[in-house]
Amino acid sequence: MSGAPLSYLGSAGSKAHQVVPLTWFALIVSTATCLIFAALIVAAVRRGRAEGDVVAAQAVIRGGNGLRWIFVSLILAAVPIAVMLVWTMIAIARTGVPPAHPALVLDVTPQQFWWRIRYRGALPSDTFTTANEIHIPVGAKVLVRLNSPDVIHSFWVPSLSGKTDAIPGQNNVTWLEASRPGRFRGQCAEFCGAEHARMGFEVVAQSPADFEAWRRGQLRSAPRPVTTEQVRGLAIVEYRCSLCHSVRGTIAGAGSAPDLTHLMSRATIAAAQLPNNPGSLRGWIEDPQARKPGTQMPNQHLDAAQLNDLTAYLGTLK
Amino acid sequence: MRRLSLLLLIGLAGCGQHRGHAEARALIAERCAACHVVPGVAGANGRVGPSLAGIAGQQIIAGHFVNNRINLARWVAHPQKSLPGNAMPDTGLTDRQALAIADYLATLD
Repeated sequence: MSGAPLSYLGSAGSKAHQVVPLTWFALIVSTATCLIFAALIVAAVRRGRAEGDVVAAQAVIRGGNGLRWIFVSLILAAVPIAVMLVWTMIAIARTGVPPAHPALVLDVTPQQFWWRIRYRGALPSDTFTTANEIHIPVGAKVLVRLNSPDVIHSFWVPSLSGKTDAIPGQNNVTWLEASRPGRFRGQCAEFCGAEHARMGFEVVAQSPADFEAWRRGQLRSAPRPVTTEQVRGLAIVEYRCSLCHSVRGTIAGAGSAPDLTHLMSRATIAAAQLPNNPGSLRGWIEDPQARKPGTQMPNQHLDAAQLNDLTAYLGTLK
Repeated sequence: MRRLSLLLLIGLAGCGQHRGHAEARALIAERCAACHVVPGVAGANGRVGPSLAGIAGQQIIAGHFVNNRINLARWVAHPQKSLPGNAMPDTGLTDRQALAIADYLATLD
């Protein structure tokens, strides 16, 4: 079960390490309680049956120690509840406070229906924007600052961290720390409109060296097109896609849709809905409304030659 | 009641129809689903290319080639080599994967 992408029963980061054992404890205690009560009810029913076929009215027996049973069961119930209360307070104290000196600060802006991620560098030239795939170094405390330009969304990566809402006009903060490398699925966890269910993202935890290599790669501008297909593809990007998207190094500089400068470095497209391969890319570009009805991206009505040129160019955005 | 059980039977038969071909269906979900409707593959609801429902009964594929296992697999793996400039991109599938997909598509009659 912990192999499912959004499983909350396994942990891969310091916050989830605090919460997951508590989840298991609560799950086991509540399951055991249900089973004990079911067994008691069944036992009571069978006990009444055994003494006769149908008893019209059975006298209530008030033994001498009836009240004692109530006290015993109250104490039995109070112990796990008290344990859970204290445990929950400890877990909240350990996970709730964001780190005072984070190794990395990210501005994550969920919006209908994708995730904008801005990496803040020490210098303006070290700052860049990407989408739907958050890379973090293993073992580093990462501060995530959340805001929303449209409606309320919620940031949730079950194996790393619980949910934090992103509310228009309010800066919420949360934090992440991965304890092992891996690719962890995240999801919008607050209903935000037609495509709420198809608003996913991924957190990629990497060794510090791999993360640094990725970061340096993301800072580069897009390469110049080489082949004639790529040149024509860039022209399509500049006169159509550029109305919403950015490709650094070209005149495409709009900010209302995901930055495409390093599109091919991402494993998925359309907010973790489709694997990033030529088929998905072309199908998504031509007809996003079939895959995500209500997404902000309109259908493109490109002809076959234009699609070929466009994907030839996008293929260079590594 | 009889009509109901008949419907149920048809429904059950429909469920069984697409069982097996697990690898092919996973590949189709990953590589083809954004553009094609493919019965039996969850999420394959694309409208960019033609629906592949009933493709097994089709005589010609891609408007040019006789519909058989080898042609279908070649088309699926190398559409740009087969018909340069057509709208379908090269899928990056290996020949073995393409044959698996062709075998699955052959069940869609």
